Parts: sequence; structure tokens; C-alpha cells
Amino acid sequence: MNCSEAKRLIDAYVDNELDVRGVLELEEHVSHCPGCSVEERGLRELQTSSRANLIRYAPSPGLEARLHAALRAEAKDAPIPIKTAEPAPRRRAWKWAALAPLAAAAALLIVAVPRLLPAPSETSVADAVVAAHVRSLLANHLTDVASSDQHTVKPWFQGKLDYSVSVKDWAAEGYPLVGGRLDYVEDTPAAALVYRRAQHVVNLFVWPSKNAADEPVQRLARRGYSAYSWTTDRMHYWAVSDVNDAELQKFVELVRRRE
Amino acid sequence: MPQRVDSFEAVVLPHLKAGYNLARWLLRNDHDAEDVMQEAIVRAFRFYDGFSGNNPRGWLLTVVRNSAYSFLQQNRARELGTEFDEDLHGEIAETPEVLVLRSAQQRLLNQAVEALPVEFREVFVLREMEGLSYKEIADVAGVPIGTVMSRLSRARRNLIAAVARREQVGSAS
Repeated sequence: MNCSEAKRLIDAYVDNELDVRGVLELEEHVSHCPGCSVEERGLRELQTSSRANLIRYAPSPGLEARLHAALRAEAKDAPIPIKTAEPAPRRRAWKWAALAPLAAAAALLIVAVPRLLPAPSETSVADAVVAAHVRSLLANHLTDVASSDQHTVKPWFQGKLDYSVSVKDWAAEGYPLVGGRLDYVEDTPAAALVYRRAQHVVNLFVWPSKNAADEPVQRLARRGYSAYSWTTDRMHYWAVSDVNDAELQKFVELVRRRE
Repeated sequence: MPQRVDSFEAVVLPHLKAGYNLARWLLRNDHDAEDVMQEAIVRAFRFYDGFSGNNPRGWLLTVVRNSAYSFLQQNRARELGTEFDEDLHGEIAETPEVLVLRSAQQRLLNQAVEALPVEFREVFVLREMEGLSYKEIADVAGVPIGTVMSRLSRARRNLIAAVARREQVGSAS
């Protein structure tokens, strides 16, 4: 690990957000780099001092009393069909921001509805896949085998997985293969094929499906990342990236066209 | 529906202190923090039926954060989306008297955090005061984890530099 990598990860290290491999590599670097070691000490001092010294503001007793009153008033005001002659106009000033969570929830619902019934665990898989994607960027552990040659990457997986993964380079289409990595999605070993699109990384996760049915392409957004999933020939595919949606969609079409 | 109020008060209000602390740090005065908190609590109550029941603290912090941002948008829009302005830190009021070192440091640090642009202050306060993980901060602030990391990192570099600069000024005078 060099200094610029160390600087990128040192906050995550101090915050205990780095995986074991990252921790080991970083500690190794810091132990013989005076500059990064000063940086680490500075961060830890700031952290200790912040936790001890930042003012923790407490709500006044008056505020708490007002909140309780406001809640009772709001509850009475709620639009329950009681037998009042006409519904009193609700005295609330709706603001855009108030509607945002609703809109987000509605949008999610629209995307998720077709899958909600057959696959209730879909969202947790999405979280796991996105977490694996983030981890690969965070810990600078993008590839176990770095090669743009599909004939190098494919055989590399053969000793490690009990299924075969097809690997193809799409450099000509603008999505060069960078390599492959063994990853885990919800305790299942998965092949992660790594591609680049300009400055962005695309992780394509592949692992076997338990049921025979194919699933159409689904899109999910998680924490600023887009994820596309589908199932073909008893294999699950998840493509995750922070690249813009149209480009990720194009990538998905490339992968699917070849199958 | 009194039972709905009771349930809300039992589940959400234990996190009132964390919520208020966040509002106060984002808005930097008690008056606005109290107004925003009241609006946030009423808003949270309206959305309470849609709340999954997981992580009430994170949920309340998200509502408080969004309320604070819409307040800033309407009343102090120029505080949003600001980048670091090194001069900002030059304006920190001088400590009037000679203080014990600890309290001087304490004041310095609090002033330096207050002077951070709100997007950076938010990430820093959620991390160091509420102990949220990167993922939880990303959820509350509605930004990708990568953004959380870069904001946190820049906030810290800025604080370290600001405190060091102020200490230098203090020892020189």
C-alpha cells in the first residue's frame, strides 16, 4: 500500500469501518511511514477530543412539554372519519420536503411490487450486493485476479467455485474487463467480474440460483448505487455501479445478449 | 387515537435528545432548533404508520435532518452547498480571558465544528456524537457512502488545521 491509498482509507481505519485485509495492509504501511503515522495520531486525537469536548445540546423542558401537547393536538386533528358535519380544513402547510419520503416510498413500491410476493428477501440481497460492491471499492480489494483477458479470468474461478462462470471482455463496447474476485453474497460464494466504465467500476456478481425459473431484469437503487438483477439458466446476475443509469442498463443488455 | 400517540411517544421520543442535538448543531441556535424539532416531531408522527419499526433513532434523525434542511432552504439558503471558506475560520471570536487549557481547547473545537459547512458538520456530528456507522450516516443524509467518507475526511482535515492554526495564534500572542 502506498501513501495515497493509505490516506484514502485512514479515516475508515480510525472509524473501524475497514475490513480485516484493509486493516492489516494499512497497519503495515503506517508502521513504517512517518507521515501517515502522524496523520493517524492526529485523527485519533481529534476523535478523542471531539467525543469528550463537543457540546451535547439538550432539549429544554419547555420544548418537551410543547411536543407532547403538539402530538395530542395532531392526533385529534388526524383525518379519522368521525361524525363531524364537515371535515375541518387541516391547518398544515405541506412542504415539498415533507412529501419527499412519501414519493421515495412510492417510487420504491412501483419498482419492487412485481417481486414483493414471490421474493420477500429481494431487498436484503440487494443490500448485500451493494455492500459487497462498496466493500470492493473501500478496501481497495477490487480484484483477486487482475486481467483484461477473459481466458485468464475464467479459469481462475474454476478451482474456487463449484460452478462455471462465463467471462467476456467488452472493451470494444466501452466496458473493459479489469479482472475477477471471489466474493460472498449472503454467505454464498459468488463470482465478481469487474469492469470499468470511464472512472466508474461495475461489479457483476454471478452465483447459482436455487430454482429453475428465469427472472426478468429488475432495477433497484440503493444508497446512490444502481443495481440490476436477473436470473437466467439457473444463475443469478447482479450488476452494481454508481455509473449513470443509462450506461449501466447498456452494460446489462450487453451481458444478456450474449447469454 | 390516543394509543397511536402512546406508541409513538414510547418508540420515538426516547431519541428526542439525539434528534435535538442534531437539529441544534445543524441550525446553530436554540430558537430555530426548537422550531424545527417541533415540526420534525409532528411530521414524524404523521408518517409513523409507514415506519417499519426498525431503528427508530436513525428514522427520527432522518426526519430531523430533512426538516432542518428544508428550514435552511427557506430561511438561510446561502448556508447550503457551501464549500470550505478558509476565511470563515479566521472570524472565530477571540477568547476574552486566559482560560484553562482544556476549556480553551474545548471552545476552539466547538467553534471550529460550528464553522464547518452544514453538509460536513452533519456528517461529523453524526459520526462523532451519535456514533453512527458510514452506512447509517449515508441513510440519514441520503447520500452514497463514498460521499460520507469524503465529507468526513475533509471535515477532519479542516478541523485539525483550524485547531492547529488557532493554537498557534494563541501561543504567539
